[in-house]
Amino acid sequence: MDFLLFRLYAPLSAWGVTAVGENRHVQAHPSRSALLGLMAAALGLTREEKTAQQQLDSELGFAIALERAGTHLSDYHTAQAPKAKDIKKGRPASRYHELTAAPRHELTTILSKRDYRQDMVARVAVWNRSSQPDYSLKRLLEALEHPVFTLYLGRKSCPPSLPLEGRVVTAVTLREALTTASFNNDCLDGLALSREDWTLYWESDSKVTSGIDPQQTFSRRDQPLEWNRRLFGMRQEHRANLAQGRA
Amino acid sequence: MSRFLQLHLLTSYPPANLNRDDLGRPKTAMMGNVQRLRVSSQSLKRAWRMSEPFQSKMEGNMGTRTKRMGEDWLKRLKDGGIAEKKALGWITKILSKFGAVEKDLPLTKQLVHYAPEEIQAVETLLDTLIAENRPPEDDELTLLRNRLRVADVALFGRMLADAPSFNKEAAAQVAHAISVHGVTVEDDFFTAVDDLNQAAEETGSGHMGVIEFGAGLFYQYVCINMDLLYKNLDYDRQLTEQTVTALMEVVATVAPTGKQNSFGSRAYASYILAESGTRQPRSLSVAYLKPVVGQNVLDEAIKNLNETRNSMDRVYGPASEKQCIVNAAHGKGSLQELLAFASAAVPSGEG
Repeated sequence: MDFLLFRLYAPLSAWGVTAVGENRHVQAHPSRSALLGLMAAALGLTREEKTAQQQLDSELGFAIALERAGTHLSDYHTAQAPKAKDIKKGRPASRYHELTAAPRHELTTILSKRDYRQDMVARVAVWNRSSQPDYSLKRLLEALEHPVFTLYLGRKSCPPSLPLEGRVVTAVTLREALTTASFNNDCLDGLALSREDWTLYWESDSKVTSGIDPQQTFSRRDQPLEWNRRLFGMRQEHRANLAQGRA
Repeated sequence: MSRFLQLHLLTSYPPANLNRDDLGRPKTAMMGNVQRLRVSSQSLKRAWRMSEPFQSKMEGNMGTRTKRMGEDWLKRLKDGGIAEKKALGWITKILSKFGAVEKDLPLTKQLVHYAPEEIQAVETLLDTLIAENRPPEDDELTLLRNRLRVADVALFGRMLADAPSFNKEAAAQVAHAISVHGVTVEDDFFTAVDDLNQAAEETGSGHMGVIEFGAGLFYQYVCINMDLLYKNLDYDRQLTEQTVTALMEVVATVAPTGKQNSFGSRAYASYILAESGTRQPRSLSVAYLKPVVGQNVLDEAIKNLNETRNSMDRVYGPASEKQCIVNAAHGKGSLQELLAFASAAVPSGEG
């Protein structure tokens, strides 16, 4: 079976979880919604293109090998803003107008805590769930190589710091797809972990043999339901440590 | 496929506290297991978009400067069969978006600078109003206002949860700036003496405090999606050039404003590498995954940047088609060349 395989590294990454208020938490490994977003960005699909987004979602399965979870960073973030009633009066034309229209003492500050992972390294395997896909692995690979929109690792301020080095590989199991190939990781020398320490995450698909038993299965709210409203549903994800999970 | 303009900058700040966390300390990050100074993406973007050079560059010299634009518009409405009084009310509403309006007259109190596309937008709106015989709505009025808005929002995007039609995907991607070397945040213990306290028995200070600070050579990365910028600016080539060059200039010369009065740490970029191409963009932060050590930090950092770029190009194939280097440390290249390079990356034609 064919898989599209690529690597993700950046000094800062941010794979968001449910965040409705001031705390914007993240997880160490990419979410399904973020990976779909990455693919859609490469292909040039906007959030408004609902049908295409749904098509993409229905066609792709993802598995991840988290090579290095990285460390936690919490960024204290302030943003100056006019009061809500002033915005409602008439939308300011630009950020500059927004901040200069009202007297300075009438501006308020919006606080948030935005989490990041530092020096996370992961590799991702993508497969086509259907046999006649619109978005073939080859097409995805070409899109990643010459993307339409800028790619990023969860948050726009997190650009990839190594090329994704995408390629299509053939493997019998997910485990094989994720662990056999090697990437040009020399420059990540100080960060690389041995394969035994990798953690695999994947979703069930009757088409794919995992090649490893889950040690844990948990729910994650990262299944896109509505794109422009950013509404997400629950999804089951399996996890296993490569050294402990039996083949 | 889109054209990307990637900027890699090295900017050195003397002791400073440019971007603080909730405890007032300079922000940091761990990279390659070593603590670095950090200036957040948001902080950089705010400094750029609010800066004087960006504002003045975007005001532009084209267009019409007048108090009397409303007269034309009033005539257009009347010709379209709208009663004078009603028409004047609508025009007043529209004009108030551009400046203060004279009472009962279609005149602004000051000279207003109208860009051609603003006039075009108002005329289109007037025709809609005539056809639908209704006053303009607030949301329609907002969309009229000026080039600056267009450039600002086109570059840095906008998301309004309650009004998705105003959303715009940012064409510029700005990474957090991170120091190329390890940093220990230091603290400055300071005292302030009470000027009027001359009493011999009361000799202590009037105030004591601590300010934390750090000095660093920062690696900064900006990636501009030129096709998206062009699209966000309604395929106006001249405006896209103006916007991208204004951004280049502020990225190279404008520092975050945090604690500038205490540290005076304003700095220009010492080294800029610009790349233009359609291949998957990547930052070159791995050049500093191993922190730069030693006494010649700037030259080492420049060397590492170029070595990393070359070896990556060897391994993955060339990441860009054209490059432009400004080396202010050794007086090579110029900002003008960079601006010309950026202008050349502006696409042409429709979509």
